[in-house]
Amino acid sequence: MESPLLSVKFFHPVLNPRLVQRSGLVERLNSGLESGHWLTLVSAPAGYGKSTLVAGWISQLGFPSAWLTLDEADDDPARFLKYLVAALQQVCGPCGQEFLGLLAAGSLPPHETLVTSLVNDLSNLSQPFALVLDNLQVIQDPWIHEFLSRWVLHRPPNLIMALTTREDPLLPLARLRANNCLTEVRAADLCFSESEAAALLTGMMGLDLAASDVSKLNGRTEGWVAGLQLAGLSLQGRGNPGAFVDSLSGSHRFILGYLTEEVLGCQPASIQDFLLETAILSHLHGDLCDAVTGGDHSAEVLEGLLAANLFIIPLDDEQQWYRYHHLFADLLRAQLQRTRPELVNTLHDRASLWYEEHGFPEEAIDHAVAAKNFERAVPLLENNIWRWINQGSMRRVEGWMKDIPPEWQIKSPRANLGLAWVHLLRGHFSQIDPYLEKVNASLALLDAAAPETLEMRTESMALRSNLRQVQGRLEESIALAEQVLALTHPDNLKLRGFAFLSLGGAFRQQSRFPEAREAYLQAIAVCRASDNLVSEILALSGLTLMCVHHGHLRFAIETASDTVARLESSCQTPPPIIGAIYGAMGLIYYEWNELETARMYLQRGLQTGVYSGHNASIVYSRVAMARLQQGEGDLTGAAENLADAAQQYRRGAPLWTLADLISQQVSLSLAQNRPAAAEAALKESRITAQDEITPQNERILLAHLRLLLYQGRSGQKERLQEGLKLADRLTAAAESGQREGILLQVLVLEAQLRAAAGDLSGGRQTMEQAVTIAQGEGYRRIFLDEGAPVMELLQKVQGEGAAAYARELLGLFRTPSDLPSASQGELLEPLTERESEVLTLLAQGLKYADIAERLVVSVNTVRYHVKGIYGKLGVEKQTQAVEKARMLGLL
Amino acid sequence: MPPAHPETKIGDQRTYRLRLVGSVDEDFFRTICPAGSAFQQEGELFTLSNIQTDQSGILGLVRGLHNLGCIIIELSII
Repeated sequence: MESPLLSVKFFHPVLNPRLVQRSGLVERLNSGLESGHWLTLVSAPAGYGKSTLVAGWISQLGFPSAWLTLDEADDDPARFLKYLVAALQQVCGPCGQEFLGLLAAGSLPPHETLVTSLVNDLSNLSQPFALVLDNLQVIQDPWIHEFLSRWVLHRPPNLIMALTTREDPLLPLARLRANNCLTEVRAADLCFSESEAAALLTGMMGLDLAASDVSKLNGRTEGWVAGLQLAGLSLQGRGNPGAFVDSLSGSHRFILGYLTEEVLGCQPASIQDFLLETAILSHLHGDLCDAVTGGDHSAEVLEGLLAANLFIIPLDDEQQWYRYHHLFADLLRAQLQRTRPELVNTLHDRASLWYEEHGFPEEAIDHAVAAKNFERAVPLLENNIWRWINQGSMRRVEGWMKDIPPEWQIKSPRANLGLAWVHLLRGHFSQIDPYLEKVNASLALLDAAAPETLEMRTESMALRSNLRQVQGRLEESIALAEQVLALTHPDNLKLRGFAFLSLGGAFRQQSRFPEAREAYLQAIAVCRASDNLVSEILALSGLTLMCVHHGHLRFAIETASDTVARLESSCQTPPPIIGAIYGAMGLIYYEWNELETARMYLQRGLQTGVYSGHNASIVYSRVAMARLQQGEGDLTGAAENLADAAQQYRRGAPLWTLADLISQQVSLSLAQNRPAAAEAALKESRITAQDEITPQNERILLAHLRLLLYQGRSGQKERLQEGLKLADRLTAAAESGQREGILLQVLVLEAQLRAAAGDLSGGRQTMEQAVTIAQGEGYRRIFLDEGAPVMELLQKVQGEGAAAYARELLGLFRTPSDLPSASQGELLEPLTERESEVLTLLAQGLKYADIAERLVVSVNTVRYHVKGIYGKLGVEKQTQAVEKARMLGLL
Repeated sequence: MPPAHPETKIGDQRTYRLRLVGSVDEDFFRTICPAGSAFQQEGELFTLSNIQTDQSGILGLVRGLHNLGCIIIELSII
C-alpha cells in the first residue's frame, strides 16, 4: 500500500466530466497568464469550487503541473518544505536535493538560503511548469508565510503558481498586484450564475426543476456551489420542490447544516453511520475505514459514495484513497460530536492502531492524541522521537508534547531527553532545564534499579555535563562526565561518547591539553564506533581549535583532514555539522598564511554552520573570517563579519566563543583607529588588565595588551610599561600551560612593546624567541597581521634557524597592510601640508563638513584633498587611507 | 431566519477599518493590504483604514496579523 502521505497529497483532483464548465473563469485565468500574471489566487470561503476551478484550468494549460493539497499537519515549516519539494519533484525531476539536505540538518536555515537553493535548482528548466498549493488557509505559521513571500518574489522564471485558500495568505499581495503579476478569483466571481445553477441542478443532477425554482434556489444560496449541490441532493426524489426551495433561508452555515441533515436523512442507516464514523479521517481507504467502522466492505461503500456525488473526492488514479470535501467533513464531524460523542475517542483509537500497524507513526500519534489515549501516544512518541528530530520535524514533536497533559509528559523521559539534546545543539541553553526537570520527575516515578531507568538517568547526567561545559561551569561539567563514565558499561558507547565529548570541552577550557586531547580522542573513537556522527564531529572540531592555541597545528590538520576525507567520501551529503570542522581547519590554514584554502574552509564552515544551526562554529568561523579580511585590508567586511558573529553569540553560543570575538573586535577597532571602541569592547567583557590570568580570560588580556601597545604608540608612554608587565604575566601563564599558540601572540606583542619603548635590543630578542617557536608548526599570520612594526623587527632577527624563518616571513609581507614602514619621503609623491592636515582630521573620525569647518575651507576642497591623499597612498577608502598612513608613520 | 447582515453578503467587497497594537512597520502593511489602504500610527497603535476587500481578504489579514503577535482592538465596516 502506498503511503497516503507521499502520494495522495500530490494528486490533482479527479474531475467529473459532467461538472458544470466554468469557461468564463477559465478564460479569465488564461487571459491573466497571457498578460504575465504568473500567480493566481483563488480566495473564497469553503464550498465555492476553488479546487475544482483550478484543477480544470491547470489541466488545459498543457504543461507539467505539481499539486499539493495541504492539511493542518503541514503547518510545520520542515514538513511543509519537504512536501513542497516532493511536489515539485513530481514534475521537475530530482530537484531540491541540496534543499532537502539542509532540512535534514534538523534546524531551519534562513529563508533566503532555502529560497535561493530551490530557485537555483529550478531555474534551468526549459519549459514552464505549474505549482498549485491547495487549501493554503491551513498554513498559519509566520515562518512559512515569510518563506512563501520570498519564494513568490524570487520565483524560478518558468514557474506558474496557483493558490486556493479560504482566506488571503499573508503574502505581499499588494506588491504582486502593483507589479501586474496576480490574477485573483474571489467569492463573488465563483458564485454560480443562474445558468450555471441550472446546469448543475437540471443538467448534472438531473432534477426536474422549474426555471423559477432554480432562480429562487440560486438566490437563496447566493450562488454558493456547495449549498446548491446539497440542495440538489436533498431534492432528489422529493415532490413539490418549490415548497422545499421556499423553506430555505438564513445564513450559509444554517442552510448547510439544514441541508446536510436533509442529505444524511435521505441515506440508508448504514451509509449514515459510515459517513459519520469515517468523518474523523483526513484520508479514506477501504482497509482503514473497515478498521474504524468495524465493517468489511468499505472500499465498495466509498465507490458508492463517489457515484452518488456525496462530497467525496478520489485522491489517486486507482481510486484507493479518497477524502471528503473539507466542508462536508467539518459538518459530519460536528454531527458526530453532537449525536454520538461517546464514539469519537473509540474511532480515533481504531484509526491510531491501523496507522501504527501500517507504518504511519505520525498519523498514529495524531489519532491517539485526538482519542486522548496517551498510553498509546507516549510510547509512539518515545519510539520515534529521534527519527523525527533527525528529520527536522521539531515543531510537530513540540506540538504533540503540548497536547499531552503534564502528568503524561513526565511519563516520557526519552521524549524530553531528545528535545533537550536538540536545544543544546542549537544553543538554546535556557530552554533545556524545563525538559531536564521533566526527565527527573519522570525518572522518579520509575523503578530506580531497572537498567532502563539507570541508563536514562545517566544520559540525563551526560546531557547536563555538556550543558555545564558550554555554560563555562567546568568543574561541575567534569564531575558529571566522570560520574557518567563510572556508571556506564564500557560497551555503552553512546553515553561514553557524550561524556568524553563533555570532558574534552571542559579540559580544553581549563587549558589542560593532555587531558583534553585524551578525552577528545576517546570521544572520537567511541562516537565513530557507535555511528554517533554529530558527537564525533564536535569532538574533532574541539580538538582542532584547542591545537591552534596550544601550538599543534600539524597534528590537528592531519586528524581533521582524515575525518573530513572519510566523511566526504562515505556520505553522499555529509551532515551540515561538519561545518564545525571546516571552520576550525580554516583557522589553521589562516595561521599558515594559506589564505585561499583558509577562506574556502571558512566559507564552507559558515555555509554548513548556518544549515546545522550550530551557533558555536558560526561564531568562531565568522571571527576567523573577520581576521582574514582585516589581514587583507578589508576592514568593512571584517566589521560586518564581527557584527554577525556578535549577533550569533547573543542568539546562544558557548561562553568559550566570546573571548576570540572580543579579541578580534579590539584588533579591528584599533586597526580602524578607534581606541574608544576597543576600550568599550574590553569594558563589556568585565575583564581588566589587572585580573588574574586564567585560560578563559587570557585571550581578552591579550586584547588588553594590544590596546596598551596602541596607546603607548600614541604618546601614552606609561602604557608601554604597563603592557610589558602584563606581557610578563601572560608569558609565564602561557609557558606554564604549554600554550605555544598563545605564547607566540604574547611574544609578538611584547617585542613591539619593547621596540616602542626604545628597547630595540630587547624587542629583537623577544622577536627571535617568537620566530624560533613559530617555525616548528609554521605559524605565519601572527607576524604578518602586525604589519610594518613586526617587519622591522624581523629584519633584525639573528641566529641561524630563526633568521632563516624570519627571512621567509619577510618574503610574505605582500598585502597593503603588510607594507614595511616607510617615511613620508618614500611616497612617490609626498603629501602636501594641507593633505596631511586633512588626513590627521580624517583619522580622528571627523566628517568632511567638520573638517571643512575646522580648516575654514569648503567641503568640495576637502573632497579634493581627500582624492589627492587616496591617490598618493594608493587606496580607495577612508579606513584604508588611515590604516596605510599609520603604517607609513604619517600619523 | 433573516440574513444576519442584509447589506453584506459573503462575497461582497466592503471598506473596513482595523485598529491594532503591534510592532509591525508601515512598509509591511503596504505590502499586504489592498491598494488604497491608509495607515496611521500613534506609538504602537495602528489604524488601518479604507481597506477594500471581501470576507476572505479581511479574515486573512486579521488572522495573519494575529499570527504575527498583533492585538486586534477593533474591526469595523465603514
